[in-house]
Amino acid sequence: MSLLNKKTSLIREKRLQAISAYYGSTELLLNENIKEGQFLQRVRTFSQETASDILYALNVVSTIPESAIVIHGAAGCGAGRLSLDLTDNNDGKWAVTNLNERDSIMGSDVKLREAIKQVYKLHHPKIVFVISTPIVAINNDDIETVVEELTDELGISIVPVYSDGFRSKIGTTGYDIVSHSIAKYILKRDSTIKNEAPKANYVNLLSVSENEADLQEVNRLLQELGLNTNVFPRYADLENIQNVKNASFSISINPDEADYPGKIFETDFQIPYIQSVLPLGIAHTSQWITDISIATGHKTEALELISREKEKLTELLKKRKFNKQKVFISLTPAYAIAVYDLLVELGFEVVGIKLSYIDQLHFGFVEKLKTERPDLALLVGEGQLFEEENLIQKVNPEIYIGGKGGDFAVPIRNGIPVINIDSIQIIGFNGVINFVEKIGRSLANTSFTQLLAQNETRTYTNGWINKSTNWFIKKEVK
Amino acid sequence: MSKPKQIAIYGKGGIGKSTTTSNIAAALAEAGYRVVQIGCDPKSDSTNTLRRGNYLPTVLDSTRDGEKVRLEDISVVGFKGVVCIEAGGPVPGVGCAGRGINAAVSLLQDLHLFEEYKPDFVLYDVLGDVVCGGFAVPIREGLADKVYVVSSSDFMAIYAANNLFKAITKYASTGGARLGGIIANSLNAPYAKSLIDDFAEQTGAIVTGYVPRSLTVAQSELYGKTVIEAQPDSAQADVYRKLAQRIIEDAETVVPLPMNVTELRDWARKWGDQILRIEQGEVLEQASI
Repeated sequence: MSLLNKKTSLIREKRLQAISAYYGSTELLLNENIKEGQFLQRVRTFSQETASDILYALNVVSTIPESAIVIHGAAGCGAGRLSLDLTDNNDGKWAVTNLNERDSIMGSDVKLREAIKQVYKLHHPKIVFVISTPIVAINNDDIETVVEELTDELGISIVPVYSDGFRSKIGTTGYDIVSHSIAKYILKRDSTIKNEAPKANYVNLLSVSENEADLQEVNRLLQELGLNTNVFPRYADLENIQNVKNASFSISINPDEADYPGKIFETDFQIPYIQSVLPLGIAHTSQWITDISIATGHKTEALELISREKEKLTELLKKRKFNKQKVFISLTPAYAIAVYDLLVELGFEVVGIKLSYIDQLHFGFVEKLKTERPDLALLVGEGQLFEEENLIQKVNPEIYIGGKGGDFAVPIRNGIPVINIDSIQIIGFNGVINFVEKIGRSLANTSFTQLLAQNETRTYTNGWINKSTNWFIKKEVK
Repeated sequence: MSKPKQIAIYGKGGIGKSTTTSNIAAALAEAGYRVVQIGCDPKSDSTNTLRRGNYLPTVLDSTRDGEKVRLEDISVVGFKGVVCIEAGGPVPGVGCAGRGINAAVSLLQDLHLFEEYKPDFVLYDVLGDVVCGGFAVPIREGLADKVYVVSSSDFMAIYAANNLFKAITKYASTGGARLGGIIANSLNAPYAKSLIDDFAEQTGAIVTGYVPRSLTVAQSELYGKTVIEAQPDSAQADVYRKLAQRIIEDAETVVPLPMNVTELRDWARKWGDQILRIEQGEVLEQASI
């Protein structure tokens, strides 16, 4: 059944039964829900701000070359994109439609039309992304007509991205929406893109949030297997997007994020999707290479590659011995799962895990934790630093591993050194070397973090810190 | 009168709400009162029969160009000095009409409508079912003092009236408008009066007046006039005059007790059975044939 006939992707809560609020044992999490094949959704009666699907969507579309963005909403909605300009040195080809009260009553199509024409005139992009925002979603304002008219008039691809900022509490939904939109409005609509016979050894590499260094490492490994890659959607130009249909397989890097584009290409364009683990750490990278090699028929190359790479790592790992140092992990699920295994392999003791959300794809991990570490409680939630601080003060880690949009205020003010995985090349076999070196350096000298902590005033009262971490996480009463 | 009496008239779409409101406005004006009628419906056809065919741009149309709007741009003086205003709304299919009502009413306040015209009566003619917060604006925030609901004896009209009662109940405790009464309109069927009386009794409401179905109304509308103007000597004109008189004199308001879904369903079923018996010729005590 075609997924692309729908206006946009389902939210993660509906599509994968994702939950965004939990704190407690893995046993309870499994017991109360496993019968229905889903975890039980809870609500936070108090919640701190989190990044919405709009920010996630902007994060991906901002990487697409020769494109421009029109944020269709109030002026303040432009702040999301502005923050990317400040941090990532982007080229600033974007506009906001600056909707006001009158537009919310009369409809906003005139302003949208004008904004798209303006960015076209200024930047001559090949693709214009129209990012929908709460005001447009609440009014159910029409974007489609403008898109249709201007696609014909300007002769470029105009892609409406139906994010809304409030239906889903899981920002990753924004990634799904972008993949859906690109596939629907470019791949499916453009009849000039011919369905050629799939090219052998040509694969779609589904990358949504990896940094460029990580992508290079993944590409290096796939090239060793004899595979040529076509990246989608991050950094994908119009040619990459059009080439999606020519690939013989789609391959995941992050199985959570690649899940949706993988499924779309499989159902709508009959491109088989190889979903594997995140290639982070020795075991997982080996597993990832093996899974791909079985599907693509490169088993021999894979075996050779894995043994060659492992050999290089053996020497390094012998030198670096870790001694049960206590670690706290605060990451998105796929990264947390892989980092957990790597840390255990390296000799660390994981004392706390915070996942931004958790869904059907993560049952295996929760079950494993239940067996291996029944004492370990899970915190689920995006942002929610007040809960993270509460938990960190209870479990006293010596090092904190975070990233993927996370915030490091909590560990820093508690004097705990931070490894931000976004700032290192962590994927693949080379990633293991970088990670081990980084963590070694961070543990060797913690005086900088301690200095920062000494100059911090306390953010929370003892009243909150002494409360249970799940004080504000309640079962919904229906 | 120093402070104008502000009255909101609600009711299901097509029930004769605008006709009734315009005729009340005309009757009040005829009796020498200064009247403002504000159509709070994106269809903007509330004051058609009062304006003698004069074009009236809606409040929201006038703000569309972003230029400063003056009160004279958005109002027309109609029959016997009735000031006609239409809130208006977006073109069908886009935007948000509820927000439009909200914005139009705020703008009228900013333009000092009441200080300017010093009306004795302000009538808000509001789109039928309370579909969102925007359409409840005249009830909320103490804008209107009294709400009248126009209803026929059709179940869907009663249903809409009951919904309106829910909205009144919700806002009454925080200074919202209270119910003046039910205006029973288009009464035709023999059981209609009893049915509406019974609904009023069940919900603690008062019936302010009964308006029979009449050809005079349809005819006057076709001439683009109210009954008061087109056929001032007709019996129907007197019906509206009486209604207007009641509204002038009415001091009592209530907070109604709307029925819940099952109560309303059971109540309707009971009447269904009763009507069947009337059709079959049974003469009942309550039925005013």
